[in-house]
Amino acid sequence: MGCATGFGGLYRFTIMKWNGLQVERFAAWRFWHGGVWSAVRIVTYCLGGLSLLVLLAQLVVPITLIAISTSLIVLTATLIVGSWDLYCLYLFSHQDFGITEAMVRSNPMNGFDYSALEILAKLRKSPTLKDFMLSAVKSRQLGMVFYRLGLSDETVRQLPTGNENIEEFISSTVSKIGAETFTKQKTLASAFDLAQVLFEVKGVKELLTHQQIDEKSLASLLEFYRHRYQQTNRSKTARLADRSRSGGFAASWSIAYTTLLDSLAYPLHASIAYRNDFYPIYSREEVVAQTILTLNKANGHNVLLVGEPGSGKQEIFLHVAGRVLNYQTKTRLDGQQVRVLDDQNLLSSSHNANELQALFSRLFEDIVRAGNVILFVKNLDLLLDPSGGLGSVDAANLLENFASDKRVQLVGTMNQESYTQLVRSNALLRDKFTSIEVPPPNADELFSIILSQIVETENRYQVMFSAPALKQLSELSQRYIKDQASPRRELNLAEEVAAAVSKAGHGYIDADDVREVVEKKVKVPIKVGEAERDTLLNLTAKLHERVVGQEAALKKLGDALLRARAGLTTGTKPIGSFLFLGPTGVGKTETAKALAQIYFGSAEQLLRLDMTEYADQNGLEKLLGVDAVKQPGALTVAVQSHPSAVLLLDEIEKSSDQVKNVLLQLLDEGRLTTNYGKLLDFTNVIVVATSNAGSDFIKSQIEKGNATSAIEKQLLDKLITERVYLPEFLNRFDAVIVYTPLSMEEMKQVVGLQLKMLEARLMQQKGLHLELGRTVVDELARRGYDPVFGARALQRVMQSDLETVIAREIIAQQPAPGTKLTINSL
Amino acid sequence: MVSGFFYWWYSAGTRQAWDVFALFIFRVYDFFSLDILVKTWFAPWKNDVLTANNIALSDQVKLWEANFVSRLIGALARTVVIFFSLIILAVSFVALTLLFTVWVLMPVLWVVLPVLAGYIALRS
Repeated sequence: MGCATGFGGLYRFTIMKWNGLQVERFAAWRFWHGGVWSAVRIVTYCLGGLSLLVLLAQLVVPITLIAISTSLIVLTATLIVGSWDLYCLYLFSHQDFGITEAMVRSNPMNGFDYSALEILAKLRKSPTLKDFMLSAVKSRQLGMVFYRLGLSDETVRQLPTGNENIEEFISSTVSKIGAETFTKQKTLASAFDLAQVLFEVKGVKELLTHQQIDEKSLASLLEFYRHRYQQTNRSKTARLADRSRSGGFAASWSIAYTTLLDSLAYPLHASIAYRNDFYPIYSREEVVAQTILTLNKANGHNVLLVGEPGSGKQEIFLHVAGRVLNYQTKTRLDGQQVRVLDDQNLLSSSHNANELQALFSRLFEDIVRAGNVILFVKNLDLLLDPSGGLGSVDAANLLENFASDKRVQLVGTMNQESYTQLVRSNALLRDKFTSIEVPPPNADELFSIILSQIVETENRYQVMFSAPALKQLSELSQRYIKDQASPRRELNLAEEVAAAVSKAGHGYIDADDVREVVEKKVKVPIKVGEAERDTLLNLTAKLHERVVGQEAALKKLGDALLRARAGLTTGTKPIGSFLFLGPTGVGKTETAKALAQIYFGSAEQLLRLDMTEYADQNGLEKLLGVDAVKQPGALTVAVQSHPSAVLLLDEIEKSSDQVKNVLLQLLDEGRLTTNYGKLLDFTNVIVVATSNAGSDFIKSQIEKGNATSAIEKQLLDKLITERVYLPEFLNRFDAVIVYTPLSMEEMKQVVGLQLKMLEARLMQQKGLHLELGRTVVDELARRGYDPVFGARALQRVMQSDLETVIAREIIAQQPAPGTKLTINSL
Repeated sequence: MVSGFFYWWYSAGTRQAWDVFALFIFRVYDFFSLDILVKTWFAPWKNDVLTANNIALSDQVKLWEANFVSRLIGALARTVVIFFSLIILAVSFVALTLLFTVWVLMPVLWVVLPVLAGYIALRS
């Protein structure tokens, strides 16, 4: 074993055969942190303080020369210890001080920082892979990384593999990292660089794959904690370099009194920049720059940050504020006051609309008088909306008056819908504000953003999210939760998961925990479990339990859905889209209901729209709406309340051409945008359109004895020729399914199904068994069947003919529960 | 390590000490902001200016008087602060110059002080 010594040979520190200046410094740093030096430090400083007092006291009272002499020696010792402390402190925050490329080339150990050396120092002679992993798991910088990967020191110890000697690997590969990092990036290699090497080792790579960690998530995880480590270390020295001006006395004496502004808008402080360092804005740096540029403009200098709720508009503003308050914009904005309007306080400070209006005006007068305020107004639409917020006060008018004054600098946020309705439609307001779109973060940085924000949730619920859980969070929320934007959507979901897991009593959240919560929330099975596997493989049979006949139709439907659940769908269209063609009363709607029950687990997951209501020129408005509040649109309301459902469009041929055109987009892209800017998502919907068009043709072909497959092609050609449907409309559907008229045998089966439901109802409500004579079923089938209306009349016949008889029997006989009711004739 | 210490003391260490001292002077200066004080020496106190249109002459005179008082208060307050800030800045500058000198001569002190101590001990 080699050893490194430092500081006059007063201590020794043994590590595995390495040396070099950096190793020596690391050893000295460890000693400096240790108990021995801390004790020396405390004693020396105390004695040094006393000696200084003695030396100063001799100015007032006579002190013996021996005392003075001793004091001088103790003071010297204190100065030496203090100087050494300053040196060690400097070396900790400038670990590459004095390290040159030549030094690193001659000894790669000089290329590592203390975090990496800490890991290497723990390795004994002939280390194994497990030793390396254990050392990394226990390190301060990597501990959290490993824990999120589901690798604690206990799990590493219990690994069956990893006992191979890696001495050669450490000497060659690991050592090279030190030299390469310094040469290429001019920085010392850290624990994170060691981790990257470790994760490339075959055994570790396999372990991570088994834990469902992919390379991208791993890279994001490492990068996130590396950035945190750098920020934490940087902050100590960054403050030293901060030379931003505050303006002191003079600035505050030249700012006007703004008592109302002080009470209604709280100030942000320069320290927000330190908070921002830990919440980087990644690719949306451009939005921050654009906001600063706009605030500096001569006209239209007020900013509207427009984006979906939860997309991070406030975060953007905090970064703008941090730069302004720390004199980093290098524009006239530097050093201005940044205030956040407390709109609740504003609304509660007045009793009626007139008072509120006066308050609003005085607030802006204060801002004008101050002359150097940037005011942030969250959800500005709440103040501008004439139906809420300021009530009957015309806030838009007030804003127009003040917003053109260059001394008023507003930054507001609102969503796209509100912007379209309240600002874009108002020419005067539009001129005063420049809208800047805030896009949601891209998928790569979303993981890091969630990591940075999730710590608060973890602390609150005393839980921890594993890396696979975070990845699952991001994927599932994007797929199934459509009414919010990223990253707020992911963070809200994380809060729900954390609450559920905390309640269940365990603290470590894995991917399955996330999946369970999402399944309960959106009522859609996500992972194919045992029960669902059975359902999907027997989907056609299960549909037959509810729908009689229609063999070809149900098989086609079942096959299409099987493909969807196997994960072969793109995720950019509805789960499936089907057009059911056939006469009335043959089971088209019943199929849709059965689908909702079987696929989504509940008959309530059926959204039914009668397309005859959208036949006129106002059809599209009725369907998609005009505004978000008064007339949101039937389809908008339906899909927003049930984003995972069967969407049944009855009698689609009756809808207007405008509506059909819009449906083309729905079927093609799985998305629609309403007139007022709301984005509707249909990627978790099964679209079923029904149509009676061509019913006569189908009947006549069946009577001629033609097979359904032959009828289908001819039918489609006929519908296209007669311009009932355009070819591009029909092509958008995953399958066009022809329903044939029911035969008498099939009709009896329908009666059988209805009777089963009636029997179940009778048992549940009265506890009675029902037995019907052989002829009753045939009679019901005969009476309930209509060549034009199919089986539609059956329900009426069941009620009027059979249920009436049953009711008469119940009233006449007053049968006790458990009795068998026998009906032999109608 | 020992040679490294001395190398640091007279390179990066001295630079850092200089930065710290300069930052302190900067902070004191910023606290008073002499340049802004001078620029706004006779500005109205807290920008408190009364304005009015279409008023009688006697009221105009009263308005002018009020604004004059505002400026007077401002000027008095600023004069006092300018005076004291100059003194504090001067004292800070002298003290920090001394401290910086001590820093530069520190290694020398490690030798001089024990020698002095020995001399004093011998004299006793």
